[in-house]
Amino acid sequence: MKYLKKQKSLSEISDSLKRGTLKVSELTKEHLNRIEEIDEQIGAFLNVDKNGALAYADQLDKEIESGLEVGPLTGAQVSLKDAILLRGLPSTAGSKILRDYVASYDATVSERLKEQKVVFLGKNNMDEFAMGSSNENSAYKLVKNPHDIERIPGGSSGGSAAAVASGMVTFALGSDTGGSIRQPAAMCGVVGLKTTYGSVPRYGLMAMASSLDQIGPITTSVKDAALVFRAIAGHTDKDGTSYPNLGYSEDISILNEEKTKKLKIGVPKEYFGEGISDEIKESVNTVIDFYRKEGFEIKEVSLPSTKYALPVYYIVMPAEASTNLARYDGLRYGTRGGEEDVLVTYMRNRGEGFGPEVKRRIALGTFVLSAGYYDAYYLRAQKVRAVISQEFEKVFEDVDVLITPTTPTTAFKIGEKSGNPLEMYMSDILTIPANLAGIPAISIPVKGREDKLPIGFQIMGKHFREEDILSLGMYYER
Amino acid sequence: MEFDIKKYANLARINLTKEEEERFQQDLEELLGHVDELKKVNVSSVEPMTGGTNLKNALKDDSPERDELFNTQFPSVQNGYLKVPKILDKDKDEIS
Repeated sequence: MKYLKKQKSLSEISDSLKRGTLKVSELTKEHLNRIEEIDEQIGAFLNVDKNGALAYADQLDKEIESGLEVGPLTGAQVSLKDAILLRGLPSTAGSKILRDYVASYDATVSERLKEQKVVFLGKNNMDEFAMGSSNENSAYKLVKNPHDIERIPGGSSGGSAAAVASGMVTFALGSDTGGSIRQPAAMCGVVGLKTTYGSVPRYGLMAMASSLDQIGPITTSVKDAALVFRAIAGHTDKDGTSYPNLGYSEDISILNEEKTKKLKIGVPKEYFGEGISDEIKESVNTVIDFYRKEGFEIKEVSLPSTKYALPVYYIVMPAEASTNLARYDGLRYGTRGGEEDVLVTYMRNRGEGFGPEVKRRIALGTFVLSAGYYDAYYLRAQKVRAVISQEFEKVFEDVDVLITPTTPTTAFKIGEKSGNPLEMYMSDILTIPANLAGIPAISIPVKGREDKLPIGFQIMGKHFREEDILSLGMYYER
Repeated sequence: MEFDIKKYANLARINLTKEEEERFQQDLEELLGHVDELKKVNVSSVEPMTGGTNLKNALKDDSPERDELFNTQFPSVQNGYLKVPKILDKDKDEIS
């Protein structure tokens, strides 16, 4: 367990800064040392901005000395999944095709975190263009699970989850298209929040599947997830899918027990069926028992089309990805190669620049969108997606939130599933439905597993009701 | 169903090696077999869900933001213009 480390929460950092018992520069040095000490083994970072972080930390200390008001995120040590742009730093999304690309602008979430005065330590390793469930698809290096370095950390935001679990950063931002925040968070024993579609701007996130992708925080506690969520959520006109007038409460990180206890909890039986390990089911049942004993109303519910979520996902996602990744044509973003016939350039740069999983999904997406197959695959998948989404709406007439496991198994061994794509895709069967429906969902570590591999339970909520799932989570961790 | 990896990799402008062609053909046939499950769902009266939101026409002013860092990221810049290889040929109607 030498790779695990408990670290300061956001409120511990801001309280110490306010009292003057902590300097941002000390904290930054501590975190940079931690990265230097263990990241060669873990592989969570593709890029560490040591000088930039130290210079900014010094500047922040001076600002605080001269009276800067310390906010909830001030001085936090932060990393971003490499698909999220931070001006001036390389941004590869884990792909060789972007190996020379340096971001020339900030993602909206990066801008918002800058306003909150966080210290950026660098960019996290990830599955290439967020395609993967184990981080084995990074074109650069593996990420190891800090709980057991023979195991995968989950993916695709595996570098971000490993960085948080091992105490290298206070929190990280990841992106979640079919579980890429929640699944690695569950496997690394940290908290991961997939936000409601349209709540957090995607501007500056390299798009994989635009109707599914959402940015969200990976943190050590639900309370911290709420604080980060509050800072990054909200409308921008730079993202056409960003909702105006969201109206999230300023107090979203403060637990109101009385109000929380009125939440009706649903337990969908389809999430406890075949393919889910007994250990996971038993473990998540202890969480449900906890809420029952606390007096919450709990009801078994049914989402019968859950089994269709994976096949729908493996049509909609590659279709959108094949379109989004057309921009990586080898003519822009860093380097180009030869100046011969343009078609030759495309074919070669894309053939050499993309890894196997990306090529596989682009070919599949091109097929399901092609003339003659569009209706049979893509259109049908969009209709079944509507069915899945309507089932959630119906069940949410009856209950406020749903509790399920996050993953079917605990973290598996490196190499165990990399030869079989379909088996790998099964890792996301419990997380994909929330993306298809666009609803918020959080993964929270089940307590009492200190010497075992972590297990996460998932709470899903109604659209734009992050408050419900966050307060239920805070109730569990209080 | 006639899935031919060569055809779709070519449409997507991706060179594949022989080994990749064989492997992806097999992987994707297996996956397409799995997604055939969807044929069991009755969707005759269902409207497709075409995106993640029901927002319409979210427009903004189109004001370009470009600076030195942007220009240095583009592989070929000449006199302030971004330079790309020739894509149209007067001897051909379209690119093949």
